[in-house]
Amino acid sequence: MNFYFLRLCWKNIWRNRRRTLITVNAIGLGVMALVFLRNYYDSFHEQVIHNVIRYHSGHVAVAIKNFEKNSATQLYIKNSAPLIQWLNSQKNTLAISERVVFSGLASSARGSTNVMVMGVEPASEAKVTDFARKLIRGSFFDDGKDKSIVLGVKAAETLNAEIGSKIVVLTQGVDGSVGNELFWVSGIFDTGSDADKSLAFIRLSEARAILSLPLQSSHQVAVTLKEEDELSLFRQSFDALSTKEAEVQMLSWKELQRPVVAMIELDRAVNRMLMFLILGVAALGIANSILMSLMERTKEFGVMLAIGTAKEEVIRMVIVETLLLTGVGVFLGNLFGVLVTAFFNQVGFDLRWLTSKDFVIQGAVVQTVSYPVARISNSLVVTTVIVILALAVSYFPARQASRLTPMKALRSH
Amino acid sequence: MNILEFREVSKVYNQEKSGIHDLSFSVKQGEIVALAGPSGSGKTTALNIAAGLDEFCDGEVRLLDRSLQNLLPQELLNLRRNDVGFIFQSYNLFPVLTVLENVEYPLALKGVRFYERIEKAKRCIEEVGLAGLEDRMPSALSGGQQQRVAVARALVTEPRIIFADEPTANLDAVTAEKLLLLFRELNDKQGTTFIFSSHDPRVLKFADRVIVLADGRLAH
Ligand SMILES: Nc1ncnc2c1ncn2[C@@H]1O[C@H](COP(=O)(O)OP(=O)(O)O)[C@@H](O)[C@H]1O
Ligand SMILES: [Mg+2]
Repeated sequence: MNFYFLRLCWKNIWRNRRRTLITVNAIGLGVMALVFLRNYYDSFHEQVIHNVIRYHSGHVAVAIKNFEKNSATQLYIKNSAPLIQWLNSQKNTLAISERVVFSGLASSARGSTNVMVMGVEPASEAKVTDFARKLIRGSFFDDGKDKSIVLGVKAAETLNAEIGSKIVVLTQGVDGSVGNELFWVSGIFDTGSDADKSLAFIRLSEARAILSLPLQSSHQVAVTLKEEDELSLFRQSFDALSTKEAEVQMLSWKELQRPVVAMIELDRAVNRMLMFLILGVAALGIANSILMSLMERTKEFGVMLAIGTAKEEVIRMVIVETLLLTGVGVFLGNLFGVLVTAFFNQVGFDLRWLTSKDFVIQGAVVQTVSYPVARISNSLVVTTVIVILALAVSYFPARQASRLTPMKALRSH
Repeated sequence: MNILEFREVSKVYNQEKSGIHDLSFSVKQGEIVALAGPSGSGKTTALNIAAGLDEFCDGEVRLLDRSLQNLLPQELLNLRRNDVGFIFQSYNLFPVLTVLENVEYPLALKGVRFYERIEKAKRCIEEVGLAGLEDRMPSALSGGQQQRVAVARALVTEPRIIFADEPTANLDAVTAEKLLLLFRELNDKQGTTFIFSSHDPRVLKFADRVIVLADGRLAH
């Protein structure tokens, strides 16, 4: 089809300006909404993943087998030194943090609360998770004092604790003894999540002491990789590691955070469903619009056929009109979808506008505000789907056109 | 040489009602022939059959030395595209296209390139006396002007024969006369054969020959 006919088709779709605008609007709004939604969800999911990694597990946790099913403090790695040495030697490894983890009761003079205590090497932990950067008061063990504890802001409120306040941590040691130690608050972090009320950090050696764990033992080693894509490579080399203790296993964040992965998958499935629903309705609007304009022009098609237009050419024109109409909607939809994305990239899209609930997914922090980024892939997916649907529904007007004969068409009024 | 020949052609619409009966006539290359007769006498039916737009039941139609009923769809299409022009009573221009674009249409169908197309279309528009109106929309033209555009559109591929079904029916007497004079002029200059239908005696006098129909047969 040459430019002449393309222009004719273009002029034809604008014959009934109002009808065309309504259809273009329907396509445009659908595409815009979907492009923005997909961009938004991508950034939201990335944020969830990032937060899970940065506030929780790292990319990978190496721990004793069955640790995720039975997080009893008794299941520990007796000598973590060879493992740590191996992890440090891996070129994918960005940072590691060895941890002793237990739950206990934190009490101050004013109150008490249950906390998950993580014994860490402060400098290592600061490379794996972001807590050290979320301090609102004090420091992440920078004071050089022994028996320091870093708390979340909510826990601090419950305990009415401030920097320098005394906190007693009570738990059960691995030998059944009562672990009981006095700490001084060194820092208070505010991440906006569950961790603020339920997580506390102490030094690794002091955690071992409370639980009566041997030196060089720990519960897990959290690992941050240089690139998330290197997860499978990392797993390969881990699986090939013959020197590792048999009872040690590697868990990626995807395994540690199955509900997060499931939530993301569910979101994506719902999005896909929504996409086909919205675009399906838009496509029917397109078919309807083209079919109506076809019926109104029956006589004109008769003239075309009478003066030498082939039936296939008429069908092609109908399909091109369908695609042009779709194209205008798709162009505008993508344009505005990207603009809306860019707008919220600047001001941030806050879920609190839609719900007053905090978003805590698997205990990991999820900020309600995200800054979506426009992705070509999202525009491409939406565009491809609507174009395919438009082509599919153009079957109806095309079939109608194929039934035209010059005489039938000329006689109609 | 006969450019068109009807040999005992019949077209039956419903069981009783028929368009034409055993109609035989012929038209020579370069003639201007009028089909006359009252409304319902079968003029439109005959013209549509002659131009290969409509089917018929009995007899034989030969157009440009080819028997129409034996033509493949593609051959019929080529005939319409290259050798035959058609002018309608109600002009039937494409309302979204300008005068120039309307006249370009048959050339675009044939795949004629832009510059050649524009040049030919402009020359044709000039020939039908509409120079200067190339960029007008059909709705901004009088009936007579629109019919001239239709003539230019039929003419632009330089067909050997042009069919016109009541081309003057919607025109006033003066304009109708001018259109027929245009047919005459084009016929003189290019030797184009014209077959038009009309029941208006004032335009019939412009034909070389008048074939009168009555109830789908030749009237005597
Ligand atoms: N589509 C049709 N269906 C049934 N009868 C028709 C149809 N077209 C024409 N006729 C009949 O055929 C006869 C010839 O009609 P037509 O060729 O239109 O005559 P004219 O053009 O001379 O007015 C008339 O009796 C008319 O009623
Ligand atoms: Mg008629």
